[in-house]
Amino acid sequence: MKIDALKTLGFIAALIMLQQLIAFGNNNFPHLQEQSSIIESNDIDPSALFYMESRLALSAEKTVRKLINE
Amino acid sequence: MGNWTEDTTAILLGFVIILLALAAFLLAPYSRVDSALLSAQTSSDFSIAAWSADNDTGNALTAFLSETVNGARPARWSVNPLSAFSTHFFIATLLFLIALCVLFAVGMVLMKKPIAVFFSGFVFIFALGILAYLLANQTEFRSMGLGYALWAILLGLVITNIFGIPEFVRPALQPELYIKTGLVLLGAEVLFGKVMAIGLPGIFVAWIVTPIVLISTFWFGQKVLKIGSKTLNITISADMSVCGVSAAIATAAACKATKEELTTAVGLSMIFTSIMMVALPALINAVGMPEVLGGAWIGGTIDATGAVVAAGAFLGDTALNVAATIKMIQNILIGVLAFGVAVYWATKVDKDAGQTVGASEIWLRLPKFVLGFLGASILFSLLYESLNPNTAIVLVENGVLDFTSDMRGWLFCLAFASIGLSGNFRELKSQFHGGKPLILYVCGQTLNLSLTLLMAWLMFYKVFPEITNSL
Repeated sequence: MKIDALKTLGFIAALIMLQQLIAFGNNNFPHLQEQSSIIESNDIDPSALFYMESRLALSAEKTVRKLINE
Repeated sequence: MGNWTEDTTAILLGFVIILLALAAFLLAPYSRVDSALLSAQTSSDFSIAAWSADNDTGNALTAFLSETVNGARPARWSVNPLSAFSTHFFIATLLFLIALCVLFAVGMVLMKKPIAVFFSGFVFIFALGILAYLLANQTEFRSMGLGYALWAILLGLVITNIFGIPEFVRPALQPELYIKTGLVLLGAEVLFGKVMAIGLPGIFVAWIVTPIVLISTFWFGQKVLKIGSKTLNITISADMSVCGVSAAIATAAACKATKEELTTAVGLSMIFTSIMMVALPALINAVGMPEVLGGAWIGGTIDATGAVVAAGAFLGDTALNVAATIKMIQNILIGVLAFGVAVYWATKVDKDAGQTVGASEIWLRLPKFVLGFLGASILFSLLYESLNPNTAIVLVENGVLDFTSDMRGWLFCLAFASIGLSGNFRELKSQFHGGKPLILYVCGQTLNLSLTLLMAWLMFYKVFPEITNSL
């Protein structure tokens, strides 16, 4: 029981460390900082699996079609 | 009642969701929206995006359905996870949970499985799905593309390996049923008309390079690395060369890969997608590569659509447009892939030495969900092309498919939570024996990067420069 509780706490601590590591990277490395700000400002979901989940992907296709047909 | 298998039940449940979506989001508002669009689109300054923003095309039913499915996901949060929950969330979650329980109760009855013990386990898996979405919506995790699939598997694995699977959960561990129902819905999103979005260069980059990389990587895994499991080999090859997690799910289901093999492929894909989403645009910027070439390279090589959009946006609008369109064309390949792998496995892999497999045997061995997947794809491709293009965008793309893709996301999330709950670290570790899956992924991706760059340069700068100039 005690070991289970320790393992659970370990997992939660690992999640917090990962989050802090990403936050550190996003705040201190210019490339990551720029990319995370682009993701935030354009409301991009980088975890979208398929094009139908991404509003930007759908609108990109329409823009490309329009540009090629003009 | 006849013999309902997981495959046939998944097809039925998938089409029930599709028919509900068609009735609510397409048939009910069709005549009103179509006539409004026909008169509006004659104007010279007509824009479908602006028209959609200014006009509410839905009704009470569509609003209810969308808000229930979307509202059951926790909102985005940064520091305090409790801020992701609201009263609306709890109401939507309750309604959505009841709807899913009814849907899968029908499935369990058809498959002659006990339903009384199903519900409590299902509620547990659903709660795990909510936790997975909660972690996926954390600002930093979201920025790195660490989505619900990864968290659902991880949370399931952690719970099982620390506490063991609670007995009451076992009857609801139906990953195959959730995945295959989700795949039927995914089929509806595979619109073949999108293939020509960027003309022939897109076909060459996405539809010529991808199968070459897929077959070469599978061959490399079998002949050079001598990976013992063909199903693991093809699942990793497909997720690396086509479109990541969704391709891994479709391929694993088509060749009947194990849960641990799918988990391995999904894990590899998500880790490398996060790395490439950051590294590839940095490299493209550093060498001063043109936006169109960089976009095509990103679109053909990064696994997940969202990560492709994020990487393309870093380079600029043109790169984003090209990258997302190439990825979309590559996404369509998933239908051909699932069917091809299912047929190959039925005719070549799952047979005894010297045995000839006839048409009736192929039919018997073919995983039937593939037919539901292809049927949904053909139905929606024909439907999309037969409507007025603007009506198709408003009612099918932004209506029906927006709803079914949200439902599909939930079903995949439940499937991954079930997979995590029924897996264990020791079996998962054995998949990585000798590091072969990792070597396979890295070698395959290296080939993918090289061939895609070469093909994109040839197509966009040597063979069809006029298309590049117009972008």
